[in-house]
Amino acid sequence: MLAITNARVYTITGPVLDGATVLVDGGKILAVGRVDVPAEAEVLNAAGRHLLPGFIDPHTHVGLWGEGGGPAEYDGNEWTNAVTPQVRALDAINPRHVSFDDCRAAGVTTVQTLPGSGNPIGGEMITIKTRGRTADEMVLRHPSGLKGAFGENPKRLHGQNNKRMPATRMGVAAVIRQFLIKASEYNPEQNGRDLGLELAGKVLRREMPLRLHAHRADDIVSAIRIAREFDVDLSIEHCTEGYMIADFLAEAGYPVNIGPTLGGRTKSETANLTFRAAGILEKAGCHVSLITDAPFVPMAHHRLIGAISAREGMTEAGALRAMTINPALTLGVAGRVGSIEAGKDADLVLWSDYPFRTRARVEATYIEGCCVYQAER
Amino acid sequence: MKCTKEVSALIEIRNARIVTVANGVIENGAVLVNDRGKIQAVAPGSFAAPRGTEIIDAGGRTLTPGLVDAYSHLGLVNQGLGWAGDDADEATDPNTAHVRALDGIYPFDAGLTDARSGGVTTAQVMPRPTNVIGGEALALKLRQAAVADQMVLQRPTGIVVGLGEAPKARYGGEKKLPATRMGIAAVLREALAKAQEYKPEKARDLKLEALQPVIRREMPLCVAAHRADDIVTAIRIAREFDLKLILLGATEGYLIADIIAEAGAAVAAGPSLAARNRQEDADPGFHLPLALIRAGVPTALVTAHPHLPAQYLNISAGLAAAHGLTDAEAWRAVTLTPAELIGVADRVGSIESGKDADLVLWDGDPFEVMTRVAWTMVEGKVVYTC
Repeated sequence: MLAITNARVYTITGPVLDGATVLVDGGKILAVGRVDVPAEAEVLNAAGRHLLPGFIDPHTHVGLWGEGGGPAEYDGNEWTNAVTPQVRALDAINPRHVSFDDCRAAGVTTVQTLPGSGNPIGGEMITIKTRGRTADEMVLRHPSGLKGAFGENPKRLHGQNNKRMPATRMGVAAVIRQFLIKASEYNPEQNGRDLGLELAGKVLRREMPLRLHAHRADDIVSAIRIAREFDVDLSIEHCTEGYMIADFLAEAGYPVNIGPTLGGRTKSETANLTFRAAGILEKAGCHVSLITDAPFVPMAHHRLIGAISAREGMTEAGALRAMTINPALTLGVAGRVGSIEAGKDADLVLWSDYPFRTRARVEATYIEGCCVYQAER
Repeated sequence: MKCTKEVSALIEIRNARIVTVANGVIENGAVLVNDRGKIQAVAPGSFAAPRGTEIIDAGGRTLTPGLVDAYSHLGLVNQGLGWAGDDADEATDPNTAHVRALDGIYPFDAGLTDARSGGVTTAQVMPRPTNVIGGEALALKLRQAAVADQMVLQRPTGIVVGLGEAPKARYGGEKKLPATRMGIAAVLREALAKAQEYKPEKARDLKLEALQPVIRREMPLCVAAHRADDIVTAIRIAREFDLKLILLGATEGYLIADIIAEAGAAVAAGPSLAARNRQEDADPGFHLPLALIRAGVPTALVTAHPHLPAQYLNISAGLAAAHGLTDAEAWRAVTLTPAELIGVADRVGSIESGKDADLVLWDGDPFEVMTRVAWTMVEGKVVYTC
């Protein structure tokens, strides 16, 4: 049993509590607030420190992308075909990859790891805790969505580089539609088992969402059009120009995962990138989460995406929610993570200061009550 | 304290906390800007400025010199234009010493606006170090201008060289020299040897011509080198040809900071706020500028924009301070030191009388992530307001 006492506790779903105690046992949060500390508890006096739930990044390629390892380590895009729903992020996660060290040191305890955006239908994604010996041990939710992508990447990778469909945005939409139609007509008894169509069944039965990469406003609208046609759940990934159609997005009601914003406008489809986006969409009433898309924004500096979004118009409380409970809800894991509440996993991060202050640093990160990172003194 | 000397000025910025960089912090002072866009005077208190002077009350906020980025591709890699707007990479030959950054700069690049919004007023713009010899760099002043030539502060400021993975991957992949680090060094040595023997009266050669100011030590060779052995190669070759050396990136420089110091090289370090890109730069972080500065190496914090977008230079400085630099060291590393590296410290890099009035007013502590730039001024003209 562990008692973290005297911290300023950001519960996220409730008020900020000064000088509160968080009691942890069996990997779970037992109690929060004014708590009598049992005699057997190990006490960590966190006076002057800030305790937050572990941050959640709902769109990353952690463990999958290589990062400096070159082609040998890169397992991001199964670009050999435009439709690869049968591939699973789970099968390529390297738990020893340095990107997980980055997560723990940055106070990020849950991530969704996705196949890349090269294919209109890219594969299965998973939501994992950022520690474990095997990918299977790390799983929090599997699968947690099916990846798809609009816009420049599939056009370039397939049409331009490989002279096959899709070469246009029309083609991208057609490929996705065709796939979903095929999936809705899937009959394994008649035609044999098809792993990709099997996975798509989970999307069609709304057991998990389609998560569609869309930067440009028209791509976002196409994603929504298709989600409505097939009556499936959707999250909009990147959503760079979403702020330009904020009312439409708010009315559509799908959650948006915004980013990577702490990076350049590297493509035409990111020409209108701005940190003002999250604040505009928050104000419009959208369910906003912030993403690094690591490694495209270095996970080591994850907190900056919240701090700069707040500087550019998001409420600070909203920015913190967009890094905790909002992504937990979008990923379907809010029963376990995303806030400091009794009964949830003890994924906790002790900060030396308010995380949006430049000088704040992570002193310790806990996942399910275990200390998985401790700063050097 | 009241300074009573009458001066001819256009603008007085008063009631400011002034980070002069050259002479410490003035807790409440004023800066006079004259009609030539120069800093006329800086002092505690306020001035008795002549009638007609525009008075700007800073309201106690912090005034700093415009930030200087010693390693950037601003204007060369245009924001949001994809392939069509990327002109940093003349990757068609291992030696393109004759290409000039000036000929690729797009004055309407959104990156320039971003940079001004982050308080950056001077940037050394370079071809990307994909070739062994990449071409000519220049110092750009971020004036509002429609013509790149009108933004030039100084040119040329150096010749860009790339060591390590980038040229290997580019040319080795084509079964062409260089496919190894040995090959890279050979290409560079050969070009420098030829440049030493260059006789223009025989026949003009733009590549060899471009290298002349480097051979004459009038400007440095700017060598992108990340792995410690690549850094040492740069030092070795600079010694062989008696060249001034500036290292770009230098990710593993913290392992050999003493050797870099002894070689007398300066470093445009980082970007430290960056994602891992290749094997050779897989260890980015603020331990690098800290180790270099502690070893006495003149070190600038850089963005290599757009690797880190230009507008985050102040956050880099803040993070460097959070990782152990003093505030004064961190300020110097984004102002006066890069100005010295580029060779423009007589014009920019500090708030001193006689220098260009490149000034930034911040609405809070400039090292805080949540702080915004209130306005950015270049040579007395406001080029960005919040």
